[in-house]
Amino acid sequence: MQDEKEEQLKSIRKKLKELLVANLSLEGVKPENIKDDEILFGEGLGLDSLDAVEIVVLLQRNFALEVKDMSEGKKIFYSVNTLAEYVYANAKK
Amino acid sequence: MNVLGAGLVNSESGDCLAGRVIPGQLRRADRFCKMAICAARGALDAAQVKGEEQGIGVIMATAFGPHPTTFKFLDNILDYKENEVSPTLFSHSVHNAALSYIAAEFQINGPTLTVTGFDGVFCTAFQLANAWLDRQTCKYVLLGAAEERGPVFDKVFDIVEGSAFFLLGQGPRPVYLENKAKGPVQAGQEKRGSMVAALNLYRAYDKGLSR
Amino acid sequence: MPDIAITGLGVVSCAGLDVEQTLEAFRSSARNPQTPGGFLTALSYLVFEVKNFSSPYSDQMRTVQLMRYAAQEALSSAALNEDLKALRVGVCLGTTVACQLNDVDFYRAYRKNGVIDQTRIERYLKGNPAENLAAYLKLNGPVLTVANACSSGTDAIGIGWEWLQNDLCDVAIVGGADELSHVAYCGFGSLSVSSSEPCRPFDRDRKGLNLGEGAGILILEKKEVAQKRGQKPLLSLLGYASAADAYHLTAPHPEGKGLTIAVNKALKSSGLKPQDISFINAHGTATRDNDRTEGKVFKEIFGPKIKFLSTKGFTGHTLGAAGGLEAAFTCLGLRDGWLPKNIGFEKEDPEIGLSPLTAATQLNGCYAMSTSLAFGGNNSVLIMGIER
Repeated sequence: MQDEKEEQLKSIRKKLKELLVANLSLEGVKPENIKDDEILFGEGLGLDSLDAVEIVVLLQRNFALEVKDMSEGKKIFYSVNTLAEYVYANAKK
Repeated sequence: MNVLGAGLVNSESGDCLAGRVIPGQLRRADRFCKMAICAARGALDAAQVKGEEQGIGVIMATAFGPHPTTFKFLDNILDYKENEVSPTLFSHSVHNAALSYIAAEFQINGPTLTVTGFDGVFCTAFQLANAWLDRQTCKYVLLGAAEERGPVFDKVFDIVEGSAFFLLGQGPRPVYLENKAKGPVQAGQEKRGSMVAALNLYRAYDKGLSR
Repeated sequence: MPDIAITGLGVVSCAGLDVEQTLEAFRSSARNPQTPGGFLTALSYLVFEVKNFSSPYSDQMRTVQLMRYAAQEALSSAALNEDLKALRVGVCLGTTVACQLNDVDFYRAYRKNGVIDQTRIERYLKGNPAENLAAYLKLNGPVLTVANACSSGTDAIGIGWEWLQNDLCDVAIVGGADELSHVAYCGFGSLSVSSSEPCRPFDRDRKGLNLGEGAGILILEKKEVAQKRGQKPLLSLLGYASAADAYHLTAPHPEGKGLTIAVNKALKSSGLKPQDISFINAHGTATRDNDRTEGKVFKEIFGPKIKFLSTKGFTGHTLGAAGGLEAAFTCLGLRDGWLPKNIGFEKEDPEIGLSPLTAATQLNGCYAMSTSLAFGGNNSVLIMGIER
């Protein structure tokens, strides 16, 4: 069960990294070089508020996930790990 | 008014962004914005004026704006659900996105104004820049034009693509801009957009008439 | 510097089809935002659509129809319809929707079979608001449309003021117009700034904006020109200033840098001090960011007792029209010595530390301010005055 969860999380993390690079115009960044625990906002990848709402749309398009309240977004979007955990727990696709 | 420096990005010289330096934090800027930023940088560099200097106002004229980005956003509207459209595309589909980048990139806190029209808009913007300098609303005016081509509008208009920016300041020699004849124009019958008049000014500057 | 008088006003929005209807809505605190009726949507954000509006110009963009409607009221109230031909009249109008071909039907057809609908192209070419009005009225002064997002209308008024100061025209028809667009509706939704509840400007629990549509038009003229025409204008446009945050494409500067510069510049160039301003018509969109930034700047410059309100609780955020409508409402506040409450506000936000007007208020000051904060970071300010 644990292995299955970890497999799925691994797959989700990979997809998320690809989505981030492709949709946030992260020039010079390769998905495989983004660490799982890399901080997305502020430091780390240095994303900002416009990237945050773009990620909300990416979650909707790719996982049918709705982030209803942007203030909960801060915890969900902390790192690739937290984002993947959220997708795993809530995704409908 | 004097043209103290000018920058030009022009598709007549091939890929208009080849060899241009695009700073990393502008990763999201679309082609329209990148052309304007490069031309503005060229004008400031040529005039040896830094953006942070107080008293710079910015005016940019465009007839068609970033229409390729607008149509990409419409692609989103047609291809995705309403709550799946890209906010990044939307926020770049407006005419004033370019000046937002220019103000942030060069740290310009003066007035920033995007104006639009199909009939002599660059000339009217030039007149306004003159008024700002006369009344000392600004010490300098970074006046520009920007237009982009794209597959949809290429079927209808012959748009002169590119961006030109001029740093204008007080000086002893007045600069006049020939105003193209007004009147309705049938789509496709004439070179269109704000770059037509802006290139006139650039050629005059280039020939040293404005110095 | 010549005195610039405000001799005419015209407004159309969800709050009313003219000045009188709008003031009645203000007096009765009436508002009824709903989900859109003008286009199909599965989204639930509320909007302020103009109702019971008809125009003889149905072949034109709705933005143009709204603009011409308000312009007619403004020209009539300035008694200017006959005098136009004898004067140099400029037109400066703001818009966000009209300057783009945000035409989903056109693009759908193009994508399907590569066909360009020429009538839609012609409508787009004729839809530049300032060029449209200047051609319609056969005017001979300068013509400019401002595309500065939410500060477009305010900037257009400021440009008209600059033209008059520089003797580029004798009269300027200024303001802004925007229709409610499905494209913008989806766009603002994607930015997570729209609300499915009636908007609550400056309220602690505000959840975002409601889009609206409309047009607000002012007639500016040199005082001596107005007097020669037999007008006795009491209202003047005393100042305009604009400044950029130089910060971000969609978020305002957290300390309100651009707004602070613009407010101080406008006060200085009008020869006024903060305590001279009897009230402010704020931008007040009801987004978390805007109201926090704007409120903080008000408190810092004007102190905790400043009277201010957002009228977007009555009209929604009308984008390019907002600056024009709100300048008109500021003028009406001075003229009538009365302001409505900031509808939608209930609880003060401790992050702002200020409350807008919570009840209809009488006032007898001579000077008032209107502020606009645009996406992209431009901040624009107008100061009006009245002779008492």
